[in-house]
Amino acid sequence: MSGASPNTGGSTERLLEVKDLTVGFPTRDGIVRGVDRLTLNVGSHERLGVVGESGSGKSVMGLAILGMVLPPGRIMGGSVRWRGEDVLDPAVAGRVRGREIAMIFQDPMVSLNPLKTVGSQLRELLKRRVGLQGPAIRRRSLELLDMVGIANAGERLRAYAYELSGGMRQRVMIATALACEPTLVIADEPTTGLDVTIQDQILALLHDLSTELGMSVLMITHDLGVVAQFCDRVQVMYAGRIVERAPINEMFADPQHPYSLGLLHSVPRVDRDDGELTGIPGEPLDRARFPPGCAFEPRCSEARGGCRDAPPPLLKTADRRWVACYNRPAEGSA
Amino acid sequence: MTATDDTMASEAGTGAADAAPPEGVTVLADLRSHLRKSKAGISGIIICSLFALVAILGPWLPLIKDPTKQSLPDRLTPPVGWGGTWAHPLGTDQLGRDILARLIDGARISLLVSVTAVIIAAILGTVLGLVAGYIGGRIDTLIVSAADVQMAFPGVLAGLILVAAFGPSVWLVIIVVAISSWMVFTRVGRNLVLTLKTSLFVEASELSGTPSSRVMWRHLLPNLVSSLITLCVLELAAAILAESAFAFLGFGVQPPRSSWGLMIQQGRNYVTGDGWWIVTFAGLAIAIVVLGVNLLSLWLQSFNDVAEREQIILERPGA
Amino acid sequence: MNAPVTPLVESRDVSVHYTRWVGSRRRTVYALDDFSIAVAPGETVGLVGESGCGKSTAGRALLGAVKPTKGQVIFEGRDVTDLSRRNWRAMRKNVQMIFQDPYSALNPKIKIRDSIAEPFLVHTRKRGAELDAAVGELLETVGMTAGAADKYPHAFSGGQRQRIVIARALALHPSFVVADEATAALDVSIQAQIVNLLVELKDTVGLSYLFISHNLAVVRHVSDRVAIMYLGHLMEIGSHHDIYENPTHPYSKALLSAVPVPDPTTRGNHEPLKGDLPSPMDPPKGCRFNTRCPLAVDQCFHERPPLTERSSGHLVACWVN
Repeated sequence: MSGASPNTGGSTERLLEVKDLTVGFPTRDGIVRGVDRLTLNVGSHERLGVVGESGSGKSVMGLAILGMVLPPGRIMGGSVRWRGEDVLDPAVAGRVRGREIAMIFQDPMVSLNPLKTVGSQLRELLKRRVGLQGPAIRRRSLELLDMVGIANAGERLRAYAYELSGGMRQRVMIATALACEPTLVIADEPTTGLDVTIQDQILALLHDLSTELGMSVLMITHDLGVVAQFCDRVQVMYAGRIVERAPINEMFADPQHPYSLGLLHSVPRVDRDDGELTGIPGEPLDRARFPPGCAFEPRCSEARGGCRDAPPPLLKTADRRWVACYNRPAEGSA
Repeated sequence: MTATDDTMASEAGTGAADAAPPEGVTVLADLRSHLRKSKAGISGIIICSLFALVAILGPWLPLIKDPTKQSLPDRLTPPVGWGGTWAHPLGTDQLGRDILARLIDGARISLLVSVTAVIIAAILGTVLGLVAGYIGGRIDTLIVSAADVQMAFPGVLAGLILVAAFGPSVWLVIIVVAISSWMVFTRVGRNLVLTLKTSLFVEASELSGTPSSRVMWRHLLPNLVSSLITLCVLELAAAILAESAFAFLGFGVQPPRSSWGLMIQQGRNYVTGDGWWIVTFAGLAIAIVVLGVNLLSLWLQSFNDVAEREQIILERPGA
Repeated sequence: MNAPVTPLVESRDVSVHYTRWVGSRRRTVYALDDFSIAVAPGETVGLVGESGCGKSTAGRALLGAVKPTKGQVIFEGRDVTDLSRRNWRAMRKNVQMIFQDPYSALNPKIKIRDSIAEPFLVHTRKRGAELDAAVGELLETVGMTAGAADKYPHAFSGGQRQRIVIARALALHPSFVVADEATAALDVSIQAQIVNLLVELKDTVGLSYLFISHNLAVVRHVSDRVAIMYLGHLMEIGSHHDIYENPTHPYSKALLSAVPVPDPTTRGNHEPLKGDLPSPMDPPKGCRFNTRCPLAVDQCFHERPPLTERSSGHLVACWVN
């Protein structure tokens, strides 16, 4: 991999440092790497976006950061450090997970208990994880629901998850994530499946909360619009690897990796008539058949011979910009 | 097996496999590697194949005697090891007939009755289930109520009535067993159809103006087959038991032909005395075959459950 | 009506209500109310809205797949609302549908050839080599190789399956195709391929589309005219330009500003629309948008605003704007 470690930029404190994280899944054709030597850093007060299509390994990554990989998959290598501590150590993970680092998923029905009311789930959480007692629990529950913009919170505490609309459920899920006052929230497609106007509400809510509470957010999404509107920095994933990392404005103004470029030319815009969508030719890779070289090579218009030999390393090409492509010279080498 | 790929594709990797082998080949390969890892499956297959082989080849097997040949001087000869000789390895019954030969003859009846009955029940039940589920409305109500009535109606009683009317015979047993199991296929088939008929490929076909009969035959039926085969095997076990029960009650096969149920019935007077082997071997035959068929159906079930299949193939180290 | 030329397909005041059991109570779902739209030959009309707005029901009503509770569906000048089953079957050749989920739109147990050949078997006398040739040609039209015919759906990715679904829809040369969220389940790089294919086919094959989608950006890219729906009511309809450059209904405005644009320089401080979508089982009286509308006045809570023409072909249902 690259020599120098990637730059989070600014003078922020480094919270999460992921290095060379590799997650393998056994398949009929041997072990397949869902996430391959992934490097990622999240600083304090930062909103980092990870964008990729299905099969890019972005969700696997989100779970693996907290040491959670669905069997038969397993973490095969690399390190995850939270303020310098090894999160892959179960003891540390148990302390950090759900407290300092919270997660929000796409489908709140999966993480909310269908048999318990919103109030009893919050109560349990506040009792067990935060150690609140007596009337403080109810006070804090109401406060949390109020924070996520739920009106008549007292009534909602008595509701079951299925009685709530999709947007309301996502708000409840955010409230449970906030209960322990996390420093980092990992949000995996938090607005996918919601209606546009509801997605807008939830994104605004997350944005405001992260600013007010000083939380960092790791936003995992397939939606370039969400990234553009929400994040400070973005990493693009393809076939389990990071292919590009850049500050948000640079990424959208001047994408460097051919895949990032292709993605941007694939999405139509609502605010202006764009020309033809060029899309990306070919099909996403079957993960069982990752080639030995650059995974994007079969679909890449700039591919040349060397691309097939080994995956290109993620190299720094300019200040705060990293690209994994043989056709993009590293800083200082050209 | 699309679903296999779908579960795999959920997050990590869509099945963009241009070079994927044809479906039949992958399923067969899966079947083999899945079977290798399932002891129950192997035992089930071995027992069932032995049963089928013996039943089919019965009369042509070497050294097997005529199951109907009586020899009163040899009556109640014990099996080898209990004072008997290799002339009658499992001994003889109260009329001196060879137990082994009669067991094999019984296997033939058992196979004939159970397989024929299940095939009739499966065809009838599936067609009714398809029609009920797909057409719906009054036809559905009618078929479902008929199935409910059948479910509540004891099969033995139906058998009694038919025997009273037509006299006992093997064909009557087949019909009675078929009548008492078609509704299982109807119910399962109907439930599957209710889910399937909301899928987009059915809607697409309907939107093209495809006639209902074609939708049922070309689109619904092929998607029922794997579940129904499992069900067939399960019902086979029930049919084998039913055949024995009918024979025991004297409604089925008549002497001098043999049947496991009949052997138990005839041998039960000798259980405590000097002929325990008659009932024992016939009972063992029933128990082992039913166990084997159940093991087979259990394994087929776990194979049909795609998630479970993947897990077994991928997780357990190969034999 | 609101199309410049004689429409190919048209709905006049179509309503679709159906009943559904909720617990032990029978509730009426107001899926679609007085829906009038016309699609001209060669035109793409985009139909946009959030969940429960009735856009799928509207598409199915135009295809005759859902029977209207009230109103008429007119195809090529002929009232087809009450056609008998047999006559509809003959109609089927002219209208087709492309679905959202390419995974469930193809029968997993039959080969691609048989899926695509089915319309021919039902409606034509093509058999044997002639049929194979027709299937191969269709596959090539949608950018696949003829060899794909011999495989089962599981061998293909979502994008490829969607191409196959399109090939099947084109089999009998329909003039009108309803694309119901046809790209929603696809990855963006594949979505662009399919959108391009649909646009291209419109010219080469000569199709009219009703393009149903929740994705306003995709609709902008493909549509000549756009209709915006909310809870079973048509709120605004107009040319591509009318809707995207001069949206007039407060809901249209809110919807457009809610779409995240993939360009960080457009970040602004728009106020998100408040509140949740009401249930179509219990829609608000008067204007259906009144529970969330920032501009709602008294009249909006009592009387349903009619669609009125603001400029040529630009109709808006709002008392205020």
